[in-house]
Amino acid sequence: MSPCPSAIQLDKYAAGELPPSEVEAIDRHAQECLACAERLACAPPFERLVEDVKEASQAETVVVEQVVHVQPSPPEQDPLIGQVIGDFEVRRLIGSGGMGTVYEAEQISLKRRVALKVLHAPVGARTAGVLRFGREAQAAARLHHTNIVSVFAQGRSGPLRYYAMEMIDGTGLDQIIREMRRQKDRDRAGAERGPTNDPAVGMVRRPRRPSNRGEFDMRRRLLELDRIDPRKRFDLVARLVANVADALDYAHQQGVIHRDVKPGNMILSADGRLSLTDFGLARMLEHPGMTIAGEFLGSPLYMSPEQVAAGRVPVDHRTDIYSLGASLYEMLCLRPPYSGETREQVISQIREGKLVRPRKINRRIPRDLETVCLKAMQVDPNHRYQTAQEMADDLRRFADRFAIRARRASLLNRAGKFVRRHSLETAMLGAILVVLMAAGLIAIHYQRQINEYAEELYRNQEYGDEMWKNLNRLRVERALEEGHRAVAFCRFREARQAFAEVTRLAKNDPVGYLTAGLTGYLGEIVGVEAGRSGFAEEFRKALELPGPRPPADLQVIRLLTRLPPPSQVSRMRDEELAPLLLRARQITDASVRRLTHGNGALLYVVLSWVALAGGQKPQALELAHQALDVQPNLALGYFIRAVILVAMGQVDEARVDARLAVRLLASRRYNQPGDLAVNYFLRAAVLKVLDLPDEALRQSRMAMEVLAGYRSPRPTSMTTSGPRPTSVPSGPPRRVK
Amino acid sequence: MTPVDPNPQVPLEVTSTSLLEGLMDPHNDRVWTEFFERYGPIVRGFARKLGLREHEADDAVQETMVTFVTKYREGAYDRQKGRLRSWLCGLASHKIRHILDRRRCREGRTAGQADRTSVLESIPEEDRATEMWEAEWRQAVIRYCLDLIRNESDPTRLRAFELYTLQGWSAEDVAAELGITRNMVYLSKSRVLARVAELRKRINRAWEEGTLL
Repeated sequence: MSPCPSAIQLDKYAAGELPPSEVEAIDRHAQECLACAERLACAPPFERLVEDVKEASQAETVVVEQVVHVQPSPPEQDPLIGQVIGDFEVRRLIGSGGMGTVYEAEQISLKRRVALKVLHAPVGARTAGVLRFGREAQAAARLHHTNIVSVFAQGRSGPLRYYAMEMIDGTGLDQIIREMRRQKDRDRAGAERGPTNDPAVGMVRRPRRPSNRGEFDMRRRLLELDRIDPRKRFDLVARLVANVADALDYAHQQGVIHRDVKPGNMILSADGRLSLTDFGLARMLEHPGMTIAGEFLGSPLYMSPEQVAAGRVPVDHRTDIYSLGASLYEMLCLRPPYSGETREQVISQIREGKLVRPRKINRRIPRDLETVCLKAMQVDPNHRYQTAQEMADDLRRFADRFAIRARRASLLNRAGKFVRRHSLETAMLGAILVVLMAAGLIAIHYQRQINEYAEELYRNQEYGDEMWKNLNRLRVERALEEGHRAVAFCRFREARQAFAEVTRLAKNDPVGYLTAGLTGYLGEIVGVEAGRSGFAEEFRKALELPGPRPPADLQVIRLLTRLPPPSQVSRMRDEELAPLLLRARQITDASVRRLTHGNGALLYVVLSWVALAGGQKPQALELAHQALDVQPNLALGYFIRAVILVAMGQVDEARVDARLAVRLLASRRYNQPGDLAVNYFLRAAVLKVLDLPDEALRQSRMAMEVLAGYRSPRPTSMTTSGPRPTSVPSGPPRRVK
Repeated sequence: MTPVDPNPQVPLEVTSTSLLEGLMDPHNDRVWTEFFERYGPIVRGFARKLGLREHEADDAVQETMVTFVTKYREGAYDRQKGRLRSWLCGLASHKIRHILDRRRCREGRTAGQADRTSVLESIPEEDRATEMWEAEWRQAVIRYCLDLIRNESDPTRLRAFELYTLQGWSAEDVAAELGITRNMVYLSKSRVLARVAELRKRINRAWEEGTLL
């Protein structure tokens, strides 16, 4: 064994300053000498570097995935060009992707043009991954389908592993989506700025590859349709994706799972054929996307929840259905389903499945198509389409909707048929629907979705159970949404009822408790009715529930349990309050996008009030801005901002907000007398801000009357702490003055 | 596990062709692409950190790059005067502020009220912003290094590096998991990091001077 290297040499090694020959010598030595290997690994210059590398790999955003694309390079730069690999002569570089580089090549024996993919990372021969790859690649090679890019051969030459496939003149779907997105941005920017004459702008925005060969007709059609007739674009998308779903179904029947379905693995050819490529290749790497190889190029964006669980959950063919759904999502919304700052964020979002509904991003997306997409992307594989064929059928049903719609009977008709054909259990569903509708409680949105499920239940009796579950989930969502709408307009009692319904229906869902707690806290801030001091209990429940929760939600809940009751905030010392607020802001900023149903906005309102009560006026103002940023129709938000602005002496500005708050408060019907009273009180408070004391007094009286009339018949239904009409509203808190 | 073969596919020598000079030629798509891919993600990350939304960050990248090229063609950038890095940072900050401003105006209008917070308030101090820019730059360079290393290294070594250095497994566990010696686990760290250190210098220089890799 060679002598151990000196400390100076090790430092130089760590700084990357040694010539290769010395590096090799030290490497060889360290392979034998454990002490040196360890010393080397712990060399001081590495410490800082390790931090940098960690930082860089964590900050890895989806951006990196988005800019990876075909990059033509001159032949002299690529050593493989002109060489013969096995039976293939490499002609030119076509592109480079996550897993390998694709060349155009000629298969010498058959004299045919093929696409040759040479994999980046030569994989060691004896790992299980490769054995699996071998079997799967053979199966994949046997797949013959119009929408699957055929694999002709696979092999290995020295350290290189390659496989040859059908050559298709077309464009990657990822690139098409990018172009569509750019077009959309441009249209939007154009509408704002007007035409531009900047020549450089033209240069940037020119499509990367000239399309003068007339081969990208379909791509152009997609791009143009988006402008001319978006509806038709959606039809076209549905048909294209249906074809891919057919292909997947065929492959699944042959026992082959793709595992890496994503826009980048779909090619749209000139004749309008969307084909899947890279079948079975994901298995090349033992944990696709989870190794360092994946870390820097692969993206978890389209992976199913069971895939990102990395081996802890079995993965079957339904993972492809999820990923196809995710790809459909991106085609519809022109952005991937999830976008976090870090890989970990994306992964936790995928596991939670908290998606922004496509129609929230683009109102033009047809509801039916959205439903297909969301169903394919269900977190629980059992809730997805069970076969790709089912998904294909639904997509086609959507695309051919006119034919279907023509035959569609009215809802009543259908309900009638429904009851006649399937007596008991289905009649129950019909009855529920009728009752729900008669009560006039459901927003049209949910009504339609429930109808859809009813219809589907009718179609697929065998999936009855699952449909019932979905129906239940919809009811939870509806109640959450109703509750939030109520709290936004200060209808606390109504909100409470809705949230009670949520916690009843979804016993393991902490969101209901979280929201109920927030509402309680806000109610107490405003000083009326709902402030039963029940929020602490609700936060505690939210914290203790066993349901799956991402760390960020836990943080939010924990944070809330640390807040003192509203009446005590002003007694907190600055050195307690300041760090609490700072931390609260960090957590809220980080998780606001993932909090559903306006919880983020409510959280900001709470924090804003806490800041105000603690005398931190500028911060309070900023937090109120944030709340209104998240939810612009939040009457409570305008109210609190008006109070803050008054406290800051900006009375004129406060009036703008106060007026808005009054308008919003007056815009709703209040079914609950308690809520009506709150409303009057708030209006009175706001009118005081507006310097209209007479009007304010009148509103207060109205409130008292409502309360009086309300209290006599049912005294127990009032708050336990008793209404505090004289002190209402309690803001602005003392320290402000 | 065999020692790493430096991959001949990744030529790293700095050529005499300057990326910046290439930008003078409006038809040189390749240079443009390289330029965009190299600095685009930095501007984008910076923009996101300063509070731009996704599509706004895309705009910021586009606008920064376009301004850079336009100004460069006009001869506004003098390599003697300052570093490319800080010039880009200045351009990007300017664009980002502008976009934030636009948003404020738009949202102020829709909410039916006057713009009440100055845009500058929502943007960190100059120094802090520069710090963020530097961090973005540093991370982008390292990602680029790792990308190159990914292409040239053996996957077992990368996996060992990932588990031991990044995920904090013990050397024994990694060795058992991957079926290699502890020496190799330690070496995975020192070898990859030393390569990062070496590549980082070269890439930094090239990016700083706007030369082609």
